[in-house]
Amino acid sequence: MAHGNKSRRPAIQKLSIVIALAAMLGACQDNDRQAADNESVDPIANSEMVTTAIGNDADLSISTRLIGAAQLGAALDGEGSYTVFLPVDDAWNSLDAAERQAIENTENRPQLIAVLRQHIAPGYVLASDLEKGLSDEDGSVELATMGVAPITLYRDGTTITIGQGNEAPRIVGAPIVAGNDVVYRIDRLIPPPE
Amino acid sequence: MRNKILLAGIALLSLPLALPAQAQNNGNDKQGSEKSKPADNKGGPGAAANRADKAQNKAQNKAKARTPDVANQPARSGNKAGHNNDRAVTNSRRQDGRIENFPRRTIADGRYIRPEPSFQGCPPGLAKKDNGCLPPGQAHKFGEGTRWDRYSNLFSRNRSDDWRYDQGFAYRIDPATSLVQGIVPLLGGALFTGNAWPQSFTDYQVSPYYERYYGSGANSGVRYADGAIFRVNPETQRISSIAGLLTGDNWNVGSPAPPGYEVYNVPYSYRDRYSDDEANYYRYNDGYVYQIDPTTQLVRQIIELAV
Repeated sequence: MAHGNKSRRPAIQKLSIVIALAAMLGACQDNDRQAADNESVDPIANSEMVTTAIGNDADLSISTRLIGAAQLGAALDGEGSYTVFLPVDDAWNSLDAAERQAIENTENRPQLIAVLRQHIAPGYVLASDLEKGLSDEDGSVELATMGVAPITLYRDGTTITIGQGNEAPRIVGAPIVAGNDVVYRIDRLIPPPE
Repeated sequence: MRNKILLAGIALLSLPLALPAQAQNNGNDKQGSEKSKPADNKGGPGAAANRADKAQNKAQNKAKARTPDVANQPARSGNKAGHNNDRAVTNSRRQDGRIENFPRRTIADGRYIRPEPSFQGCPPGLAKKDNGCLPPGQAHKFGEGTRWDRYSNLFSRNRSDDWRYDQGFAYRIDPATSLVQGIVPLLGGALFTGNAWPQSFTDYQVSPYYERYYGSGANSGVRYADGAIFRVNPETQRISSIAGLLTGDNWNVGSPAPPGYEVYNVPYSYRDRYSDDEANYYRYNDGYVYQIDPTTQLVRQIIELAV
């Protein structure tokens, strides 16, 4: 029995250590996310395809599927370099059923692609680049897009928004850096140009 | 919000409507710096003026903050292995047709615009008729359900026009004659993987550089339409993939950079060679890196990337 207790103790200790490490890791991730909002921490670039990277992100499953439906994956994984603002799943799910259906209907694919294009900017804009730009340009910078109008990003306290107002999409967490692209999660779809 | 998103989709779709006409202007858009014009902001009384003021103030602030006399400094010579094939191209080479010949856009009133589309021929299924194309069953074929009013309101800038969507193409209908005056194949519609390349739009060839950058070299089947680069199977003439998306923004040596490039955005693998400093700024767009004078904000060089 004593032996048994003795033998279990390391296991319990290991479990405690694992739990503690997990808690620390979680805290670190939270801190990283907060830091991303505040200090623009650039993740280390990885060599995997951006479609693979976003496909592995739990918050971007709908965006990943829609990019696949639009067959824009080859473009994003290809030679060109893009900065992509992808709505998280909750953003897509917040649309009403008719709107979701319209966007996901194969017959409306040009419309889906048009919406996605408005979320894609040329080039490789890291969080540090964005922070520097916002600092140099008095808190707002304009990014060209592949769509019909540029987008303007604003610093609002510790957050960065696309456009202004209560409905303005906010950048959530640190970007995903993969291949030639940088992907920012946003909490709403970018609204249509005025 | 619901309507906003739907409207956004419809609105954004209007962008390609002007492409065919701009294809006719390719030569003009690739003129040397003496003929090139900066992106203008005409037509936007309040907003455009504010943007112009803001841009001017920013440019003045930058000019004050940075080394004043750098306009004539040459481009830095990079030494990163593997990037030695990068090369500057000039506007004169553009006049030689060595640079892409796809349509260029400008920004006015906060919106990208292109010239009005013009009629370029009848696609399959439409008969040539006087000064337009006649859809089978006349224009009433396009019912209310496929009417895209916001095409005309937001894009054509000609409220008498009437854009309709059908079978992957957008059609501009003359309300007086019901004849089709403009036809644009849309990315995701007629322009989609597996579809035959629209033969009426064969003038959308790309430059040799883009054939290398997005394809495998000369005659590799790289085409442009609707703001996108496509790979087209040379044998079947079917679209095999969407290889890239382009802004189509207009950059010329000696002209200001187009709006929307305030943030450093050079791709990762070129950052050690083209990084911003007091002598030069660098920005990326559509497969090129552009060297910009920090003081004057004018484009100094257009650099092809090694491929």
